[in-house]
Amino acid sequence: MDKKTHTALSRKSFFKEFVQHFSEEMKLDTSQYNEMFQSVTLPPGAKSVEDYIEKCNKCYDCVSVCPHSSIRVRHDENEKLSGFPIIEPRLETCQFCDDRLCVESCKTDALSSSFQDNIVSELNIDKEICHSFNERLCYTCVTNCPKTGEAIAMNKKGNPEINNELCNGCGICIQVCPAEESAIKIKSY
Amino acid sequence: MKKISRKEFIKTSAAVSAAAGIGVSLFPGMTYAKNSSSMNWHKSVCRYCGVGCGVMVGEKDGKVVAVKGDELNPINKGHLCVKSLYLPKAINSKTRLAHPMIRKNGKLEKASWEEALDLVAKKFNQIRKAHGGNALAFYGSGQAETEETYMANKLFKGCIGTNNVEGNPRLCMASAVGGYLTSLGADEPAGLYEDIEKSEMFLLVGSNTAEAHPIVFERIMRHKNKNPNVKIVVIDPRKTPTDQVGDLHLFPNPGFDLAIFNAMAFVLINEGYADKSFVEKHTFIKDNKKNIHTFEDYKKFLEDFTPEKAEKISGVPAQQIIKAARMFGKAKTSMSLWTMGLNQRIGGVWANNLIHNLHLLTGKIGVPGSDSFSLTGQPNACGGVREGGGLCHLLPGHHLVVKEAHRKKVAKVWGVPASNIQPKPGKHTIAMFSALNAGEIKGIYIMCTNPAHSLPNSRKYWKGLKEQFVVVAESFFPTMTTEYADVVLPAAFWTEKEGVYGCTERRSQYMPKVVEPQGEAIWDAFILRDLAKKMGFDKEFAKYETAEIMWDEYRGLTAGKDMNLMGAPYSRLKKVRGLTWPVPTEDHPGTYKRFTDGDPIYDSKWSSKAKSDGRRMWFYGPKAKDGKATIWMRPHKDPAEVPSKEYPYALTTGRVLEHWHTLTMTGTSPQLNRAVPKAYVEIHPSDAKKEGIKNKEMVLVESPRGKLEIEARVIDRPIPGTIFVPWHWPESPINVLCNDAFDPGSKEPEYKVAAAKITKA
Repeated sequence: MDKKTHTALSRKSFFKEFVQHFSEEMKLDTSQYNEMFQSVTLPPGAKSVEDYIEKCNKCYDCVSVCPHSSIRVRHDENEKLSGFPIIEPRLETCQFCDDRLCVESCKTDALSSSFQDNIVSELNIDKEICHSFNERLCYTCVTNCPKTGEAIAMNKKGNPEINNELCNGCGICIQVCPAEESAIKIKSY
Repeated sequence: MKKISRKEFIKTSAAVSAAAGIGVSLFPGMTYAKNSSSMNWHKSVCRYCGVGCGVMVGEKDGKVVAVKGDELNPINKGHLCVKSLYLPKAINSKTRLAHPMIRKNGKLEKASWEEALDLVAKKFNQIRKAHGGNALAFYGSGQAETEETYMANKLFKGCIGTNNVEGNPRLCMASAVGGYLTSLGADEPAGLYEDIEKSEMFLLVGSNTAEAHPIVFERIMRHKNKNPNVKIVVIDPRKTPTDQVGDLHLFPNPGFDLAIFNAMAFVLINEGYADKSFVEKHTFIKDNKKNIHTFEDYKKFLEDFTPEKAEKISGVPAQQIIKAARMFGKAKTSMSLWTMGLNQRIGGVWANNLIHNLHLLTGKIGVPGSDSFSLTGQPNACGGVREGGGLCHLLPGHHLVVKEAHRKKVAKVWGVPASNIQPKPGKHTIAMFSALNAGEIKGIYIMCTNPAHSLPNSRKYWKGLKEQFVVVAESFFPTMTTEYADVVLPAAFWTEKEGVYGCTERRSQYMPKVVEPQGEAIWDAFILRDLAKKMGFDKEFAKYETAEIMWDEYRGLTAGKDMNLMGAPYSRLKKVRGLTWPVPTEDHPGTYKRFTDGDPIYDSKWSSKAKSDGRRMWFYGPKAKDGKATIWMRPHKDPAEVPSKEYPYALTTGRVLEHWHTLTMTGTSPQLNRAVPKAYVEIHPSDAKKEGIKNKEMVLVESPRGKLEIEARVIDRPIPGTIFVPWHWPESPINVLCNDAFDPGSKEPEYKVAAAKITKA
């Protein structure tokens, strides 16, 4: 799968594969599911998880320069991003600040300015958790999304619907979700 | 390209949730709501807005642990908005006030009930003796139960002898009351929510229905989904989630929309949508001086409000106004819904009149699917305050203090001399707090509301609260108002008391007591009763042992009135999902449409008269003559404060879905705080660029009355030239900046328009 570019085409093919994978592996248990869609993303400027893991030298400069303390170190032994700088939107989202100190501080090209306007990610709504899919009217994610009506819109049924094409992965929806556990899951790829 | 990927994505998410369904519950903390076997569920009404959704309160071991929608309730059919789900957190919050407090040496200290009530009674009696009853005042709430407001009314108007009894509905609904009375002759809508499913067109004006009245919005949305031909016009200076359903959005400059409604009337007449025979038979056409005019005069008057002229005034393109009017006229049935955007204005009553005009002009009233329907902000503003008479000119059950017969009737029921009730209205809210500032009112009892936070230009009124003797009965502590309190009394909260709430659609619903009050809290009505006894009104208050006694006495006062509740005793209300008045007898099902067939008052008194006149409606309300409604020739009126060179922006305020009023309740839920943690000011990107403001930057919003440092949210929701701030947070009380100029008729202040500037902090 071509992950070099951030175009719609590559994403489409990614989806296809993803769906196929799921239709074959419907018996995936919850822990595996959680691993696929967690609540962690890469910092802005990362190209893909593979590329990031390969290039990041864990100097943590991006962690220390982030003015919003959005970038932190992943502590999860069982996970491949363990030890790498990541963003956990539920705790603090990337603010996409103008100066992108994180990208500037990166000496290895793990974070590159050509990808800094997006956080490579896919979002997904867990309908089991989402209030809106459970007869409790809620559009917190829709009203808080900086690209409201585009990246997340209310569909005709009044449920939120994500358009990953237009989403820049800021994760504000994940942060604000009023469910006990965020109903919106994010995943970097 | 987009489409494909979205489709793919939906497939994916369906698969994911299917997979998740196999595994363990992904509903941490919510398992108790699903496991209902060991819980007792009690039918009740939601504590929040005026929609009046039915809820089931889940109680386990004497504690409220869950709230879910009542599937049998006709209003919400089991659905709720996200706020209500977290109500148990408010009930069990650490911010609940557990015991009375008295200010000693400038500090609030724990006190006994005996001590606190003795002090209040002594002080109130001293003030009354030295300065007369009018030196005392009561300020209540559209969130208090009808029974609670009833007790306050009796104590202050009937016993103490002052009409200084007000409530926060003055700040939200008074203009709607004025509108209904002057246009239709009687307060409250003619129809019900069930008109929504029968309507072909909706006019949503000054209402962010999606966030402020979510379940009403959901009903509109579902109706439109099923019937794509349904047209929806939104008139609001701000893009809101309500636009989700809108076919057309008109963006007037805040406070400049009156011309639009007149222009719509102009188009309706010119394009032949007016129902002349209805107008002739059912209405008077009047000007501001109440002179009666002909239809031709009205047409001539409207020539000043052609769509082109209205465009110049409002900033809305003429073509859009014409389009909106056509949608309204073409549809067989139309329903208008509005709320604070129209009411909280110095032209509030006029704006309401102009909406009613559209319906009267086209005969789109009194038939299924057509109604001019005002949405109420609070759960019992209609029931307790408008019907219960909790304002300075009213007595319970749609009675007026100025009418001798009414005073006598109410005094007899209260068991007090009729001379106790003063014939002149008391001080309306703004006058009341001004009098507190001036020292004319020396003692005030504030119940179930937070005026230090919620009054417009609030800082101005902190002075009076600080200087005079202030008693606050409140379930939560601290609030901005308790900071100024001399005595704070812990009040039982929702589910800890029984009583009746009356919602937007004239529906009175019963709420049971499910659990014991927390700490030493006591039900507000009993606090007032006990205070009354201590003040020397033993005899008058001896009988009020239960809520039912209070309700029955109040109910008796509604007999024969337009809001007849005689058929709604507790025994019946406990079984049904509310009753919509008039409901004259216990076998009457409640009324769907007022003033027409099926309305028991119309059927028994006016039907034959109307039919012989060839009419289908008879507006029999207390302010109507000859059974006719009124089409008003209301000219345009600027807001009190127009943006100027120094203050170039129009500041407007509002609610968000996740929070409620001054945050005493929703602020107890970490989930809701997470959703919207703090105040912000929405500013259009073009304005932000002009002012050099970046997203999430701290900015200073300033009006002639004050300033506030607040986070900027650069977003194209408000139109250029307008900024928007939600008003919930005590740390960022935007009401300090709001204008306290008020409508001369309804005395409702103009929260919705203030001139402001915005600069980098």
